[in-house]
Amino acid sequence: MSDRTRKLSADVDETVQKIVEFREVSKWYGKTCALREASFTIERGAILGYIGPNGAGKTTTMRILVGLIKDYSGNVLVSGVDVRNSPEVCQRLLGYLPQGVGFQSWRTVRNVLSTYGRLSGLAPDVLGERTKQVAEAVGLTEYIDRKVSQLSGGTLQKLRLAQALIHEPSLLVLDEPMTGLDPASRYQVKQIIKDVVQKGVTVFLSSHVLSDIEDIATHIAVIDRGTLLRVASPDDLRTEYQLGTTLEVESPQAAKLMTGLDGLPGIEILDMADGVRIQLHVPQGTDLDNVTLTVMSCAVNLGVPIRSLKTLRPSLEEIYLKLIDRRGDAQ
Amino acid sequence: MRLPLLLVDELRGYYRTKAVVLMWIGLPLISILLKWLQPEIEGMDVSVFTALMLTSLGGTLGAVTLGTSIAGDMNQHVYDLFLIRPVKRYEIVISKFLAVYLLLLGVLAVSMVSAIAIDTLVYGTPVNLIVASIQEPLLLTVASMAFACATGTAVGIVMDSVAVAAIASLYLGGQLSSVPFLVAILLFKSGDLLFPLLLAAVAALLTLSLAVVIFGRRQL
Repeated sequence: MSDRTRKLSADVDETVQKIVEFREVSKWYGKTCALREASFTIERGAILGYIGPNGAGKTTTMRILVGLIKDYSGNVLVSGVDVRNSPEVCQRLLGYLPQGVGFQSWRTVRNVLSTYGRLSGLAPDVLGERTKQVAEAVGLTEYIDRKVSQLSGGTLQKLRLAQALIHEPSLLVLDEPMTGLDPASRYQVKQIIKDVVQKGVTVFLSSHVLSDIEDIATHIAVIDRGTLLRVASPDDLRTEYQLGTTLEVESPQAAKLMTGLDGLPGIEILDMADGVRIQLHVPQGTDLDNVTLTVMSCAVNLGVPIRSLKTLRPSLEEIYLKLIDRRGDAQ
Repeated sequence: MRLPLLLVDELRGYYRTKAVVLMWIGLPLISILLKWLQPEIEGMDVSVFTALMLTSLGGTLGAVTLGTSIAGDMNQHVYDLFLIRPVKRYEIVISKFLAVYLLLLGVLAVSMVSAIAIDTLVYGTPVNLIVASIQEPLLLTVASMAFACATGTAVGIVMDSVAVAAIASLYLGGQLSSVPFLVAILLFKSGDLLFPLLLAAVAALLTLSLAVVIFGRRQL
């Protein structure tokens, strides 16, 4: 156990399972409510994906959590410690990647990491080694002596992530970490997040693009216009918001099959992709086995071969849109 | 307490900025050149002229450097990364002010040593006479620069736009830094330095305190 960890243990109960706890937290900007009585928890080791449209209140939530916003009502606890009452204790536990944050142009990658490491309380004798480790972990080793003004968008985002990791936080708060990145950089950032989670770090990340977090989040929280709509695991959400099933049929004569299927009861044709795959929507309550049988019978009657037939789970995107729509309708 | 760390960090950042490099090289050169081109300036020693010129130019440059860099940093949310760590808001403000002010004092020292060397070697003025004659302007310069830097710091914190911060700190820094100097000339006889010095010091302190309070309340 390092000195830093020992010091931390004196202030914080690291066995508290709920690493983050929001208790009826509200934040107003004048007459605008940015966050309305939000209550949720994040379990240690989880990845909570925080999703909502632009301006929904995601950044406000995160800035409250990391202590950048102090004038709010309710309570926020990190490992059982109140953020407002003991900011320094919480700051040692937290790593934060703010959205679109910049660095002074004269800094080099090494300088960024060592400066923020020192400010986070790392001792000078461990700083060099830790800087090297983090740079290696996020793929910045070759840029270590380069000025930040010379870095590409993807590399700069890795540096933002690296500064959040420099002091070995237990909780990583990432505000839109994939925004503005090309597909390769998105993949790399996701990999880095997965790697830190493997090491026991809890992650709270936001996005307005569900596909960015769908494949890494263990839990999803949906927020819209300051109101937290739902917090659950992706599987629970899928079960709860049964939106029917998508059946995908692959056939070399997909067009012919599609003509045959058109109009059959219980079948709604969604799309044809690549000229060989048809996606069929099976509404909730319709017997999937019957539909499968109908499709196969139709194929046999038409003399059309079927290469594969599989069911696809409803995507979280649909659930998310349904949640947002429902709220819009209610209002 | 992260102030020493922040101060060293700011010194590292500022000493190589264009404005500070300009100060290091440009200000001693400008004052010597001006004296060279206009030797009739009241028979004033190069060193006295340099000290007086730095009151205005050095203070203005310091104010602009602070105003633009703070406004730029705030636009880029640079301070978010400081404030999520055990850093107090007042430490950020004071470290920035001190860094530029200390660099200005360095510039002043370089300029004065060059000017004294010219006075002694070129004009043959005895060093003890020079030292006696520059004490007052030097003290005023030091106090006025503090006031100008505090003004630049406050302007940078208040303004959202870097361009507006540049114009405001250029104007205010230049104008306000000469207030104690003007007070000394207009209201007091030579040697009555206490009031203008006190005025400059109190004004600097109040302006810096105001900057700290505004920065403490400002939504970043």
